[in-house]
Amino acid sequence: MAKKNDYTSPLLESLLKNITPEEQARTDARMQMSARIYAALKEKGWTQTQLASALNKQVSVISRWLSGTHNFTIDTLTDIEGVLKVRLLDLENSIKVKKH
Amino acid sequence: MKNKLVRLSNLSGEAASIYSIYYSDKDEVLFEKFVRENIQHNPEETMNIVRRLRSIGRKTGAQDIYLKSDEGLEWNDDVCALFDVPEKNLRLYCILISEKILIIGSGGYKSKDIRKWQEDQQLSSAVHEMMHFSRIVKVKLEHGSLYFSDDDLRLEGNMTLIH
Repeated sequence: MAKKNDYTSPLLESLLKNITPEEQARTDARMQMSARIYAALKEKGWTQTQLASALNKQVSVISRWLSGTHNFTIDTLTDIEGVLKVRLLDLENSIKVKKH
Repeated sequence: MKNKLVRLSNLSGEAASIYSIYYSDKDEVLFEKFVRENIQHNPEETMNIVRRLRSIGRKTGAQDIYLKSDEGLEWNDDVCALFDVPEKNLRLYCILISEKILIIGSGGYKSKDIRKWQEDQQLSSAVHEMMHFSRIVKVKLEHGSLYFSDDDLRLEGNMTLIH
């Protein structure tokens, strides 16, 4: 519900119409994966520097990974899972197809 | 002149509210100015920023990992910048209030020829503008004329920012 001080920008509205659901879903996934790794890092009580050290990477690489712009590879996610002891990918369970 | 905080309903959602600043004398919202200035020459980067802001509003909240902190000159001014897309250099300056409240301003292209925003007039102006608004917002929050809604998802009270 629109409230006082809410502003619906016509300019943004016109831009948002040009974003496909697939494009938005890819951006959402990158940002959600970053958030998931960050949550796991905090849960373990680690800093980004400790994660960098465990993966033999520069801290700037970890910052970039967590920035929400990074397109993770399976290899990188598997490595992160290994050092943080968390499940980021669910590969063991059988596939459930979404029904629209 | 009366400037005020406005909640961008196109970008805000259940995870966070995205605010920008409305300039009454120019009848313009700061983030719209940023989009207008950059959409032609940096269309991909501008759209990427819009998509990420929508993710923040609807999915993830304003996590500090998405932002480069300490972009302002004072340690406590809370001015930060949305991380650039790798190999791209379009800067958007913000004020991170909480995981549920992000104020976005303007910015511009940071050339690879410069190391600091102080070397570019447009970026410098954008950062100083956000430092100024950050001070006002901070004082208003401290004095209680601006406050959080019960669910912490909105700013309420006096949204006017005197420039």
